[in-house]
Amino acid sequence: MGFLKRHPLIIIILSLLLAVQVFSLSTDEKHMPAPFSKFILNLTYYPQKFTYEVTDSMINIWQNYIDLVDVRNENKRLMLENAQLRHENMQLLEAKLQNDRLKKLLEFKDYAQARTLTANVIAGSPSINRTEVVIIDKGNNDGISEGMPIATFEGIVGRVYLVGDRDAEVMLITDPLSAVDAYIHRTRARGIVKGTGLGCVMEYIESKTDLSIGDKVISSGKDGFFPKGVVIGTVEEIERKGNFLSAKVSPNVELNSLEEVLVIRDPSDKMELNE
Amino acid sequence: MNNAITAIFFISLSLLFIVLQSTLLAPIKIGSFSPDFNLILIIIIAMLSDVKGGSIFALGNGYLMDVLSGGLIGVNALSRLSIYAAIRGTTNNIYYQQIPVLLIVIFLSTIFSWFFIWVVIKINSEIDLSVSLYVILKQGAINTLIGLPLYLMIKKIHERIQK
Repeated sequence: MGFLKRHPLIIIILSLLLAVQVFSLSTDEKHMPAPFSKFILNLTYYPQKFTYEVTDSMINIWQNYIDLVDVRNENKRLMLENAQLRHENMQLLEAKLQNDRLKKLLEFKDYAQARTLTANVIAGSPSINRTEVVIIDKGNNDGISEGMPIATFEGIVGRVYLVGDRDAEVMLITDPLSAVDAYIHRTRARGIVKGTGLGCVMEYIESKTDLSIGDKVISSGKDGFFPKGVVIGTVEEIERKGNFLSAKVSPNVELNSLEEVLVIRDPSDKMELNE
Repeated sequence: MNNAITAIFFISLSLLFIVLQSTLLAPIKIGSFSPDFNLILIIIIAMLSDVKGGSIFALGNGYLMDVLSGGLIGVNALSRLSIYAAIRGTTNNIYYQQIPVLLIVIFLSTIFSWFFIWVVIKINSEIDLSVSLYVILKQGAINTLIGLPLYLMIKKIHERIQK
């Protein structure tokens, strides 16, 4: 270890060069997570789940017995109802614009109920440098596999990146490595929603597109991961970038306070709803 | 025997910090006010000159962080190894007994950690580091404030183990 003390600069430069190389390999779409990574994910499951259970029950005790019990339950029910109504409203708006797809879009709801699995978010990323990752308490044993889309009734959350036996790591749509093929709901203009770390940006929208602040962005289903017609977010800012438009998109789901999510177990069947 | 106990102590502490940092103190929930306990731990180990195998510990801890934060394997691991090497190589251990030096080391190490990741991302320029200098400086200040009492506490426990 004397080498470290004598030549710190060499170690730093070598580490930097190696990190650059490793980073470019890791961002490659074909990259497969190492088996040892799964072992670490399995190893951390129990302490994370334990902490989640303890804090969750403590919060529940506080909220249920000390705080206003009925108001909270009512509020919870209304929030769920509100989220479901907003989801339904979005589907009806979609139907108004393209009536012939109504039947298929309503089928999505049945589909979503039949093919989804509810999971709890038990942990987040421990890294300050990269925070757009959460860990859910469902894994390989529950039929979860890498690439599966994750959503809530309010919209898209992200997709499964790494699967352990009992837990899985989810990359949020705000992660810089995330990309979702999307439409502007009102005009059907297409683009790619990419994560920026702090939010999302929709890129490669044709410059002649009629685009306004407040437009809803929905998934197109053409990327092979996310089902079609699920809300991603709302356009907040529009910027011209060369021959294309770029729009800052505020995600519909509050990603910083995720508690329960839906894992869409078989998104491939959903592809039949495509145009 | 003491070395084995020291290793078990630091590995347990590392796992505890990782669990804490991914659950109760997850940066996604409490924002950039979250102290980077694992980085602080690496800095502390580097400052305690008699800890054996510190570089392997730094590398291992960084790898755990890499796995649990989205799988860019190597970036955290190598940045932590660099921080460890920089601290071990630049200053004599005697200076670390002085509080102002401790504060400067923890603050600069946090900045260095961000700088390392920024360089890696910048070279692979398709992705931007979407964090402002203000957030990085704030992170440095938080780590420094938390790191100093943590260093003094861990140092005391470490000395007791060594006796």
